[in-house]
Amino acid sequence: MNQHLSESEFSAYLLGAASSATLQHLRTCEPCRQEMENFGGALTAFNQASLLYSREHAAARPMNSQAMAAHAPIRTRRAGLLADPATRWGIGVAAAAVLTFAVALPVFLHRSVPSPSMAHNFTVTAPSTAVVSPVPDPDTIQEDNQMMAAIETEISQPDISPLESFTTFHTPVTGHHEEQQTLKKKL
Amino acid sequence: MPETAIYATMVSVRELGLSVPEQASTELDDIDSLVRLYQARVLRYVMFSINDQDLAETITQDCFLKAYRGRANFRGDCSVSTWLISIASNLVRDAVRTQKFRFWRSFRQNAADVTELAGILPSAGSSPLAAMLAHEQARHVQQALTGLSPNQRAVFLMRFSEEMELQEIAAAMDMKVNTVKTHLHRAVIAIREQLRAEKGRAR
Repeated sequence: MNQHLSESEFSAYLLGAASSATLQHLRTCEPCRQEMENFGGALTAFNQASLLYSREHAAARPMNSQAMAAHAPIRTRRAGLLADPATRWGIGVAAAAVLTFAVALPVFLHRSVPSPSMAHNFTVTAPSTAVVSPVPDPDTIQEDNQMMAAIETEISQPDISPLESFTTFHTPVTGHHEEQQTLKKKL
Repeated sequence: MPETAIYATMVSVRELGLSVPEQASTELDDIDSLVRLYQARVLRYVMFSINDQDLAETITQDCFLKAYRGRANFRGDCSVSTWLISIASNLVRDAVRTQKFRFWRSFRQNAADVTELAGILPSAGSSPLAAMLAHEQARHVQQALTGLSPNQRAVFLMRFSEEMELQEIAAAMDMKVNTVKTHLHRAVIAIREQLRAEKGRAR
């Protein structure tokens, strides 16, 4: 191989997937080997520095692991029936079906076909658009006055005696009529 | 989403039918040891994934809390470190999604101080020139990481800092292995370009 390593060959080597030709080239090509060592050295320097930096940072602000442990109940694996995912799925589907039935049944019963009388009762009528004026017209006033006058006339008449009806009873027999008049005078 | 992603990982672990190694079980039960052993690595991954120190601390704490709560579901098909990084990755993804605008606004405000990062390298056993070169290289990589997409940055850190396998990264990121390879390839090219550019400026 006369040319130097390409970027693809370089990254393949770093990912552990170098071809035999790449490995052979690195053995013989000093610039490529130097390039590889420079990159590896830079990564090593970064890893060392960043780890030391993190250690110092962690030491400066330590975590309260005991407090974490106190507030961290262990999450264990599910036991028994719930351990099997298929069983859990089946239980979930059954619960969903029961819930759906429980919700759908009242809705279905409520929406059943109504009886004719109910249909009549629930007939929707358009709201009245007539507007009642606060000032009555002259005809209405006249009718009201007539009605009031009739009421006044009616109530102004003297009370009728409960026995009044007896006085209006007419009979062709003269003798009876005289007795009736006499009785009336006594009353 | 973190909850579901974590349990998705746990289900896949359970489906493999592997048993929890006794050592891992004991390790997970002792939260002090868990934090002491892995806090720095998890914090590093989160911090350089989102470049926000305050948020990184919160996510790291949340990660250990979730891991401790769900320790009974760990079956040991991967290392504890990889498991923790997977949980942290889901939390980071969730944080980026829910706090997208705030995340980008504060992207550089709360970022790790690259000057401090470069100056923290141990120089014992190496020449001053080599130490200075290492400081510069670390700073350049850190700067180059900020130019990557969140997915590229995450897979790059998982692969080259946490040394996770491609399949482990794919499981943690909920991606296909080929997608992980594509992200890694683009990330490597971008970082190399950045390093070359910085080298050219130095000359």
